[in-house]
Amino acid sequence: MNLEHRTQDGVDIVKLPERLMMADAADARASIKDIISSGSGKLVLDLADTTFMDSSGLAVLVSSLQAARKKDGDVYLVGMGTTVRALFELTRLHTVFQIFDDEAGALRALS
Amino acid sequence: MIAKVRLDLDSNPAEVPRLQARLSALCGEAGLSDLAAFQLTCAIVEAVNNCMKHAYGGELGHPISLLWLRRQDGIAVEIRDRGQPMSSPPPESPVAAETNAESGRGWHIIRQWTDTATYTRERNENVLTLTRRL
Repeated sequence: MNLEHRTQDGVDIVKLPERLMMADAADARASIKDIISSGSGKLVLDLADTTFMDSSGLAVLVSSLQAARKKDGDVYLVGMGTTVRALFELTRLHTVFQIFDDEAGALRALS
Repeated sequence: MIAKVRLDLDSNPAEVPRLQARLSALCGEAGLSDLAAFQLTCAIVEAVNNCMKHAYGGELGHPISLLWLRRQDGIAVEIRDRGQPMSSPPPESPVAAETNAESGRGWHIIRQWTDTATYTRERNENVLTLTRRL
């Protein structure tokens, strides 16, 4: 899976696709883990384009968080829409992840 | 107003995004809000994922059918597969949903975002019927 990825101030920033579902979960998980393992472990995942996610997509994010924290890093989420936010609240993952309105806020917190 | 729609797919995860788009459109046509449409679509997608992962054990090439029924008071979706029977839906586990475990959220989503979820076994088919009031 080709994820849009760039680095700013030592933080990896990855744009997630429109849908993050079971079909693409394994590829997305591998791609993000590669980014974490070759980077600082500080990761911002941009969900601005993500309009649908299932529990497999949530598992990708949880797996990413675990990988980042093993490197003393973290995963911050930005740009989350109201529907995906409802999924995070239902599954209580909004208490597990740091969620920011925008990338600038996440970068300030991570730096 | 479309009252009854049958959707067929193969037990291939690559088919689920197309199903998700179709379900979102049906929810919109039924008058659900964006949030309610997302919730119901998500619950149905989780149920279909379960057919693929558990009933068919991840094997491709097996049939799954959905019957979408628009009723006066709400929507019912009947999901059928011919895979392994489910002993019973797993018990609700709010603790598991609150941990940062990687899996175990599918049934929580199904239960919370539908009004009823009823499982039966009919002539070698698993039948899961989800309903949501309008």
